[in-house]
Amino acid sequence: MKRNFIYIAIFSLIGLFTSCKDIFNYDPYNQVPPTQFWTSQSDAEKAVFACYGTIVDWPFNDPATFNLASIASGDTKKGGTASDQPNVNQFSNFTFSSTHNHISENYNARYFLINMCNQAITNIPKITMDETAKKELIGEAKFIRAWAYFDLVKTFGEVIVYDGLPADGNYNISKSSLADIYKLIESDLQYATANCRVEPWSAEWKGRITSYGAKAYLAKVEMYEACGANFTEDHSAINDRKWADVKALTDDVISHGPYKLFTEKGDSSFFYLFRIPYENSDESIFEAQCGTSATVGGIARSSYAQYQWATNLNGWAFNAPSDQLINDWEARIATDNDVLRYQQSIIWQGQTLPDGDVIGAATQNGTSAFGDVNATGLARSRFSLKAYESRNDDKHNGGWQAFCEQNYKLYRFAEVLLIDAEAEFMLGNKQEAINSINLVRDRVKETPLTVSNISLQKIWDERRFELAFENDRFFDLIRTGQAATLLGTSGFTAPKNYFYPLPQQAIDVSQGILKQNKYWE
Amino acid sequence: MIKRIYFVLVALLLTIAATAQSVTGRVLGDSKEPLIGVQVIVKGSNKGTVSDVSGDFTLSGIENKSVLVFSYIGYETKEITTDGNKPMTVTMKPSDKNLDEVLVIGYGSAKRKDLTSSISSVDAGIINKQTVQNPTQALQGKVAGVQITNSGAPGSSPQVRIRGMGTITDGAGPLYIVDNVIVNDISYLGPNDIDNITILKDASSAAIYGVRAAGGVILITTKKGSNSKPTISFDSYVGIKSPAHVVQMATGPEYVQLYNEKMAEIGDPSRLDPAQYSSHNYYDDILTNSITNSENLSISGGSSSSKYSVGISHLTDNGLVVHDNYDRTSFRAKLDMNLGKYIRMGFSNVLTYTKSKPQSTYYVFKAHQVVPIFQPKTANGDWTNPLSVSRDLNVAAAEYYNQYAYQNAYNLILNGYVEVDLFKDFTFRTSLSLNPNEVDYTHYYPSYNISSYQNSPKNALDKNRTQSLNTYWDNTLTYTKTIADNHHLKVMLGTSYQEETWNTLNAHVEGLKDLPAINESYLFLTMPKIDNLWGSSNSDNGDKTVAHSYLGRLTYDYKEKYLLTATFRNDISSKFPVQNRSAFFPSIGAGWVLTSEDFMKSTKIDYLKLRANWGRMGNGVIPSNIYVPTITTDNYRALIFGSAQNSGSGQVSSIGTVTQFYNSNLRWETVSEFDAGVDIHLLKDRLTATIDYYNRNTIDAIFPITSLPSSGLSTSGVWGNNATINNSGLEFTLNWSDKVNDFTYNLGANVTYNQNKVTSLAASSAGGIYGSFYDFPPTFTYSTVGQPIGEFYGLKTIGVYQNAAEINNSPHMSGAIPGDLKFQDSNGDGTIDAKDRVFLGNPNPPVYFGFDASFQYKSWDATVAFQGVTGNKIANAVSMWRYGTENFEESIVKNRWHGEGTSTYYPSAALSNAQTFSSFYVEDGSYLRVKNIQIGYSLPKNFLNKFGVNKLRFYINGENIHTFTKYTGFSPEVPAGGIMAGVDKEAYPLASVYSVGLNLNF
Repeated sequence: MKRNFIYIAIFSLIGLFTSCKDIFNYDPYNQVPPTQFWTSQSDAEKAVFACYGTIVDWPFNDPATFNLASIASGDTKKGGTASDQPNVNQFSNFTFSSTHNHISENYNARYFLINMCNQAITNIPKITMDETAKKELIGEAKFIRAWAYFDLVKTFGEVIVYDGLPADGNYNISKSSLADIYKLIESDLQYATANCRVEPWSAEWKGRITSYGAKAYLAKVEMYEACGANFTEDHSAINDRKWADVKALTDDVISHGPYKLFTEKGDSSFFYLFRIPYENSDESIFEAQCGTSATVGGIARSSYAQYQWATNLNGWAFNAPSDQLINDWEARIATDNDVLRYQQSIIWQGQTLPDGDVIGAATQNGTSAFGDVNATGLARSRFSLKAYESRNDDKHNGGWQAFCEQNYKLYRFAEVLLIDAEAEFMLGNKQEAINSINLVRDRVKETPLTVSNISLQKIWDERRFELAFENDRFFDLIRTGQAATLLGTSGFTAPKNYFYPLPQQAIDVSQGILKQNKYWE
Repeated sequence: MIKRIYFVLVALLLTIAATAQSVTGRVLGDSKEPLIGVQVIVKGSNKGTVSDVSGDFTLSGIENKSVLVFSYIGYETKEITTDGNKPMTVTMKPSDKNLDEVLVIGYGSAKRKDLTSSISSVDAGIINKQTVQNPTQALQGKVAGVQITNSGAPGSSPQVRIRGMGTITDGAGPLYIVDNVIVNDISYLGPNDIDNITILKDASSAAIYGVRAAGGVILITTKKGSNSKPTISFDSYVGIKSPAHVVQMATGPEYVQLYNEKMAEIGDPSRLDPAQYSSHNYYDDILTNSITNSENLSISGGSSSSKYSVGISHLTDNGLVVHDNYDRTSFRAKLDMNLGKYIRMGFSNVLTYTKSKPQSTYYVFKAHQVVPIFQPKTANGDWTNPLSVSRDLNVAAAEYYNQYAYQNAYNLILNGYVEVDLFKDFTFRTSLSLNPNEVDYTHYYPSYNISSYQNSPKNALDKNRTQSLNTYWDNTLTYTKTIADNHHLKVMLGTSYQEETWNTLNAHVEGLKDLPAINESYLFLTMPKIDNLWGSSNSDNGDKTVAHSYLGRLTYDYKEKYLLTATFRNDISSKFPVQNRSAFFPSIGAGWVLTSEDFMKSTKIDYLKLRANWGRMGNGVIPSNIYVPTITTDNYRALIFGSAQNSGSGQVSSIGTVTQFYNSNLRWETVSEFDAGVDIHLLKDRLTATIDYYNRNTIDAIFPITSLPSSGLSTSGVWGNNATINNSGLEFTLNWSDKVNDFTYNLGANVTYNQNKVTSLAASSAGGIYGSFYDFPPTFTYSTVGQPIGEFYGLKTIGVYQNAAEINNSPHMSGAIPGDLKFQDSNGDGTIDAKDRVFLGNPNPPVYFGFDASFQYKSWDATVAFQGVTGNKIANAVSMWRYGTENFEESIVKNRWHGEGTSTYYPSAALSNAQTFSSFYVEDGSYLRVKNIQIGYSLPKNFLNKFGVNKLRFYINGENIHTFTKYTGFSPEVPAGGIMAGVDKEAYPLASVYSVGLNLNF
């Protein structure tokens, strides 16, 4: 009897337990289920903010960017301790190969950003939300995507293009032609122009994309297309772009847009343009929004300022002004009176900063690799003053990193004026050209140009010294066809060095689908 | 008339006397010694007697041609037919303990002789002997087919690979089962708590565990009670632990010399003045010897109705990095009871408390890298800032400021079972197991300022609490039947339910104000802070996995001569998408004990069994949610817009996006294996040998491959069913034991030969899989069809450029200077580049082996054990990790190129090709290790019995005494990392331990 009871108990237990199919019905832990994301405006904003936030990340301001854009141009040199990442020097003499770690870091970072833009662009349309806000957010994502693809096409030439997330999930496709890549960039920027807001953002959202910002950037893209003869295989403009197209855009932005040069601080305006209280000023079109939080750890830890700053003030001294840049600039003081901008772009060992700190050189031993306390002339240490963040502004929320509040400017109105000057000049409108370029020159008290002495070279040179250390120079040399002449002695060979090689790791992993740049095979 | 009756009576009596005889005889053992107390019974009756002191017996009233059955514990039962009343001499053979050994197999037990599969067991004696922290380390070299690699870091479990690398995921090792409870690792178990370890190597034995079995199964039983008076044993040892081998680095003056040489070679004007610098060996600041000691007390005993075993043990085993502490205390209890004739129940528990101060092995890695030219502290007592020469850490300071790590871990394994004999022949068993675990980790980071590269302006406190609970409930119903005496049948059906949950909570605050002291009393998140802010950040995470299975086994044998076993298991796991959740794992095996056949009786072979089996197992040990898209909200991509962004406390715009691949059609990884083996005993069971051939296919192996960089997704890799891998090989195990007078000895050897090959790749990786580390660019391995998995792939070094002329006359190598490594132009196109890469070696050892010998002579005993591997290669990535100013290895100092003709193999100090993976960094990984030597002395028994003591033995022991190897890194044991197996990225020496100890039994 007792045993029967036991049997019944046991079998019923088994029966109970074996019928539990719904033990598998529970939601995955600690995930926002994808069915619950992409459902509201707030989700759409979060996806777009991820794109803005990624630009602050290291690969967009460390050697992965400035090696390729600046050191290769000869206007900056590696700097830093002699044996700290010596392979950076390979960009000074063009001895790098497709396996260089900074090339793959550069490539990977931009695609990482493009993925985030595509996540937003593909998924936001499905959300039920205010249509204007929806289009505006997609416009912002498209602007950033265009910015990333423009970086890639300037750097690597033909690259893989994804217009949205691949429907079949297959990312392993072959690269696109320059024409197609530029077409996508233009279409993205046109969409942003049409759908982002025309009036500037309020103070709390300063830094987000606007319609005129997209239009202004499109002008730079079309300028590159118009110069295609200098760096394309068929020696012609890309997508048949003409300087007249460029002028149409710059005229519109200059006449009707909200942008103007920053001149609030008189003769010191150029210096203050790059300081923390004046970030996102009316001159700024697109900036990396760097700034930390004491309560939310881990956000926005940019290495931009620390990488280029003086070693005695907690910087690492990379991307330092080269002898060549100094010499050419000092010559310009005599010819163009470019003294203010020179002093406000470069700072030397021994000089004192507004906060009282003195730029130093050596450390304990004097014979170290930073610099010699007793050096003179070109042997002295010097740094980009644009990177300067005062230690009084440093909030120390970056852990062991310093100066994480310093934004870096990715596009500003001064460049729009110079693009306009170049376009007007190419169309024969010298007076219009002078009007634009002299606005830039006046700010820093350079001697104004006249119709008789303006030249293309002068416009190109103005770009060089206005935009020094802003990661434009190398690509500008390629665009204008000056690279082979100016960099030939450094090891530059045309057409091989027009573009950087695709990273070997990307080639390997694609197993034959992605082909290397033919000059680098 | 009466006379006739007498006659008949006498005739009758005589007749009766003639048929009912007396039989006498003597029973002897195999060495002709008389056996006392042997039971002699007439078969079929209850008539019997017992042999006396001389082995003699007498049975009367026995009919002619009766069958007498002789039985005696430890000897094989014998049956002899009587022949009239002729005296008999009966020689009894000791039963083979080995064959009669009862082994725990999955969901049941069986005698070794009835097995059709490849199962190895390691006895307590072998495990208890060793002074290791983790019992898995005790298995190294002891079992054929089982390759164990130490991973170095203290408290970490060694990596176990059974029959080659088939499963690639880092987390997949064997399934560990301790007293019927599935556990993730056995690092909390003391070797002294273990009674037996059984390893299920092939599919037939492991298939019953289905989903977790692809890496093999290791079953561990802790000590249990017995039907005897209480026995108490106390074991203890104390020893010294020290680093076995470190890579020698350059001294201060040597560094300065090589630095200046390097600068001259690359045309850089910087020079160091040797007069300004000193010399210091940073290993002295990071590595240390330590004392290790262990005490273990256990009591076991019982009666016929209940058996118990209780034990308490303690171990102190600090790591090799300074400040590292490890202290473990555990309590275990086991009780098995019989309630009446039909019900048995019991419970067991192991409770462990570990208190440690874990220190990272990263500091050993840095000690191998930092420049040796500065003292850790300057003359006035400050930490030295090395930035003037090298943008790197002052490693002594780094370790000093990182030492405040405190970890308390609790682990409980609890199991209870009830077994009921139901209707005739049916037994039902239910077993419930719980494994709660908690790890509390506190880490305090002081503020410090050593250089612009090494500083922490604010102190910080991290607290982490991770809890997990695993629940298992197994039910089995077994039917056992003997049919017609000779057919033995056993059928088992069961179900198993598993639920595993874990969660982890982490909080981080910064800027604590003036801590009175740095110890656990003051390290609380609520302590006063400089900025009065609460909680700089926190995180919360968790997961739940559920699995549900049906299983069954059928065993049949005929006279224990023909054996058949079949199992099945059906698993359903939450790790796979709904359409692929369920999987079926069968197995079947057969065996033939040839020596039970009549035609084998005349041979000298004591035992010969042939067996073969086939089975399928699965691997579900993969991260959860590979198959669902996940939204990341990581703060690293968040930002602040507007003017508030520079205030340090602006409103953060949080983010949400997708950065991971997901694989919506993820399928089970299954291993299908065929095994054939021979077990043979010869020379009166003194020589035993086992030979196995196995062929394993891992189908749909799940592991991550490098994602396409342009996808912008999953820098940690794309998980999916990416390859099919085959491992096949041979295992040999030999054992010889013998006794000559007072000298007993046992020699054992096992050798495994394994061949690994990728047989097919998924379409998404059809061209081959490249392996590289996320944070170190070079590609190290390339896995493709027809090659072993993870084979090294790089440029082949063919010498060193001696001068500029040689560079100009050789295939073009961009940026080459004299002293650089010269590579082979494998494709003959005149340029050295990535297309010249070739296969450079196989990281999977084709042969691994172990030998051990134990001797005993009167009161002395000794054991020696060796193990090793051969035929494999290692990529020395630790040597390669050079970005600029790192220190030089002594081998570079001694052998470097420093002028024309000075070296044709070693490059110059410039090490320009340090980040190009080439054959220069591929080394022979073979090694032979003297793993253990122990010498013991037991005091004589009659002396001890006066004190009531049964055994007192003293011993000295050496662990990891020496490793013979050509490999120049820290240790030739490189724990594999999937397709990056054999790439040595770890700098952590093995520990040698020399100890003395005692064993005491009452």
